[in-house]
Amino acid sequence: MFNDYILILKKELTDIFRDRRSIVTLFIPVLLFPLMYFFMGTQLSGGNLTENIPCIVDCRTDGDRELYEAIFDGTNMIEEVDIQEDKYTDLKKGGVYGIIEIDNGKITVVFNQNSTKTLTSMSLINERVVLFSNSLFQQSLVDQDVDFEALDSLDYNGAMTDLSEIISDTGNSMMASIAPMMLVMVIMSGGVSVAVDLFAGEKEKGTFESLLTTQVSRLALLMAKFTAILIISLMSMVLSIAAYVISFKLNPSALGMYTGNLNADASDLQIITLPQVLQVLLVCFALSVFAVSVMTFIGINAKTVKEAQSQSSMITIIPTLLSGLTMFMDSANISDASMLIPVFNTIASIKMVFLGTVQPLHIVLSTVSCLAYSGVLWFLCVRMLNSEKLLRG
Amino acid sequence: MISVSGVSKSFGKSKIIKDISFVAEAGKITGLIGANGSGKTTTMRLISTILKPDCGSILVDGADAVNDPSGARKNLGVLFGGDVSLYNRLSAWENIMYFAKLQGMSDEEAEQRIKILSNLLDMDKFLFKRVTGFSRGMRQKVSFAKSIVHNPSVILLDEPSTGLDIYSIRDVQDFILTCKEQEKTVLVSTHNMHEIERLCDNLVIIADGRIVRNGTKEEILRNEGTDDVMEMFFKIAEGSD
Repeated sequence: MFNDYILILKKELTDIFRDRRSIVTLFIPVLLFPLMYFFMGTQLSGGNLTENIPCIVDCRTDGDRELYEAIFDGTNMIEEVDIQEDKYTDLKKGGVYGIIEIDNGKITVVFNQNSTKTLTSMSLINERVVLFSNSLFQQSLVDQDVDFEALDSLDYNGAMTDLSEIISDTGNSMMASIAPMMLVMVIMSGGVSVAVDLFAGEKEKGTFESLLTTQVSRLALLMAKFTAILIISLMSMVLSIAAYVISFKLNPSALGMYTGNLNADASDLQIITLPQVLQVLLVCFALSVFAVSVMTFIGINAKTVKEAQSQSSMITIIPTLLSGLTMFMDSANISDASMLIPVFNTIASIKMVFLGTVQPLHIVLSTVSCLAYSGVLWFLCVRMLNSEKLLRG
Repeated sequence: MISVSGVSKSFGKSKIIKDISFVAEAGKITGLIGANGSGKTTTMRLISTILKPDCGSILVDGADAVNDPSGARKNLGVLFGGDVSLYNRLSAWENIMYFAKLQGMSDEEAEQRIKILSNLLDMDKFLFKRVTGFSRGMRQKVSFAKSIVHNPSVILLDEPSTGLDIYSIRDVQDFILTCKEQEKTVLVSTHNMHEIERLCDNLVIIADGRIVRNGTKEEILRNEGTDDVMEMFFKIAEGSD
């Protein structure tokens, strides 16, 4: 049986690697992820604009103009832009980040909340205006001989700071929410076309029937085909992780797993530690086994390639939905029971690894449950393979 | 020799094969004839051990196909439903070699046998080319070769000349006659009356899962009072309705 297993496995791998589509599909993440994160990183770093913010300044009176100049005096914060069409249309079209309107001393800052850059720039302008207002207030207290420092007994300033601003950066949280989803989607879809071809495809072509009339055992057939799909799925996983490493190297400030320093370069990276890498690999391996078991089950049960493809497409939608769930969950307080939900548990585990909140029990539950579900699917696959329904339309 | 005795097969509540018995002798070509849905392919699948009968026995060159399917498969070469399905990204040689090794042949045995088959089926020109782009005739020859590469004593052919051009039909039929000369048991399921005329020694005529005639071709033609196979078939089919 072992010889048959090796023979079938060798043939399947030869067949798969002679298919250009399979190779291209495998390498898509390596090409796509660095480009995608480079683009996202560029967008994020553009959000840190502090100088020459392009704005339309609309002052009704000369006094208003003087007020504007007093607020932004000595700074390069604003770059005044002429109105092209209509001030609001110009803001909507982009190129202008905001409109500063001053009407008889009343200051209004208009911004477009659909633009990240506009939002960031406008909060900086807002801070500047508040600072100016406070300094005017302090000056008037001083003019009236009031000790304003005595009034300021509580050093609070109304400030709330996100923990991620202290121990990490924007890229880190983005990394934790997007990377697990992308990784899991690659794992779940990596072997789909191969699985469809190896089971439903062979049934449709008629080669499966020919195989069943040979001396080879059905179990050897199942094991070899399963291993071939698993190899493709694992290659797809490893290449995706490699793609992330390339992305870190290319764009550390947007994706870095380091703390604090926005101007850090690749040498400052504390790219996830070895135990963290091993944890990610472990849960991803268990998910790969589960995904390939699902694909094998679908392939064996489907009567046609089309049927197998439509059923398989569902398994690429599920990770997207489940990763959406993890976005709304408190990753530091995920219950043990929810770590038994396949796919969700892997996304949550990777997210927790990236955020440094993972517990060993969660990794164990995630891995063991995925492998246990795979065992059940394997049992069903073997039953189906020995059933006469296998070849009946 | 194939010996089918008292075999029935149901799928769910519908009984597809109803207590059939016949013998296909070695050195003879036996035609299994019937309309679509009469039970020909199910009978072939039962003999080839893909399906198990509900009752009855099937012997393939002495091996019990029901209780020892693996033993029966050693003696069997099967070509299903005009089977031209091959692995497109493998060459003709690789396709045949794959099946040879699955049948337990050594590299040397398989290589020798493939060379013989290539010669017999006139495949030398395309033996080492990938199957993609092969004509149906070329594919059928490769399918044939992969089915009988292990030199089985019993050959089951389900619609062997479906969709082939006239030259390929001639090559395939000549090859089937060669198998007969080699004293192999050949069971052919076909609709092609010319094929029956040219190839078959014995006929098993099946209708609605039952065997309605079984004997030598000449015997059945004589009993039906005709020398035309097509007329004979229609007479029997209409009589069994």
